[in-house]
Amino acid sequence: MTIEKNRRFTYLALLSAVAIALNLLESIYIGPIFGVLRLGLANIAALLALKLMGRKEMIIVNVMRVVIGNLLRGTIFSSTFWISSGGVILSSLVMLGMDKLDSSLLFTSIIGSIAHSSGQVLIVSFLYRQAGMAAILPYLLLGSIPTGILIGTIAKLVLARIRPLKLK
Amino acid sequence: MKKHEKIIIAVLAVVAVLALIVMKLRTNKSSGYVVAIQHRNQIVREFDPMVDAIYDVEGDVGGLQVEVKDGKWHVINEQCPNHVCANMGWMGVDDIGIPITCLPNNVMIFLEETPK
Repeated sequence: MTIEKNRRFTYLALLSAVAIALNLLESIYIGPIFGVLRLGLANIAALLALKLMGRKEMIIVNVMRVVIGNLLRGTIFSSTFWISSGGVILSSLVMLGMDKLDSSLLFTSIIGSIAHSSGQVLIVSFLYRQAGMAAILPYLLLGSIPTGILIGTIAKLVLARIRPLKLK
Repeated sequence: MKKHEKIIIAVLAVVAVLALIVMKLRTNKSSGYVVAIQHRNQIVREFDPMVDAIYDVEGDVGGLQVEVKDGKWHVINEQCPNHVCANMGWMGVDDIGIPITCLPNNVMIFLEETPK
C-alpha cells in the first residue's frame, strides 16, 4: 500500500513538473498567436493526469501549475495570476464533467480549451469592468477548437506510449 | 471522437462564425466616428468617415469639396487663393486630431466623435 501511495505521489510530482515546465516554456518561447490565442501546452499534463490517475489528481496538477508557474514567473497574486486561475478553474470543472460523461480525450481537450479561454475572459471582464471583452469570445471559441485538437492529439499519442503506467 | 461530440464541436464552430458575422454587420452599420464640417460658427454637415463619399461645402469665397475614402478625408476643388487646406492632405481617424482648416472660406473639418 505504501508503495502504491508513493507511486501516486511521484506521478503527481512528475506531472506537475511537466505542467509547470510546459507552461513556462510556452509563456517564454511560444507566446500568444494573433495576440490572444495560446496553445495551452500545460493542458497535456492535465489530460495525462486525468487519464492516468483520476479527477482529483488533475485538479492538483492544474492548481500546482498555476500557483507555482506564476510564482516562478513572479506574477503571483497579480492580475495575470487571477486571470489564469479563472481559466484553470473553469476548464478543470468542465473537464471533470466531461470525464464523468465518459467523453473521448479529444473532446475533453477541446471543451476544456474553450472553457479555459471563457474563464479568462470572464475574469478579465470582471477585473477591468469591461463587459465588451465578451466580443473576443467568438474568436477564442474558433481558435480553441484547433488548439484543443492539437493538445488532445498530443496527449493521446503520449498516453498510447505510457499506457503501462496507468494507475486508474 | 464520438459522433455526437463531433456534432457539438461543429455546432460550436458554427455559432462562433455566426456571432462573428453578426458582430461584423453591427459594426458596419455605424463606425462610431463622426467628422464635422464647420462653416463660420455653425456645423453644416456631419459624416461617417467609414462611408466613402464626396461632400460639397459652401464657403465664404466659393466653397470646396471634401472627399472621404477608407476612413480618411481631404479637401479637393477648393475655390480659394491659398490652397492650404488641400495641401494638408489626407486626415484619418487614427491621426492626431488636427483639423483641416480653410481660412479664406472660414471652413474647418475635424473629427468630432470617436467610438467609446
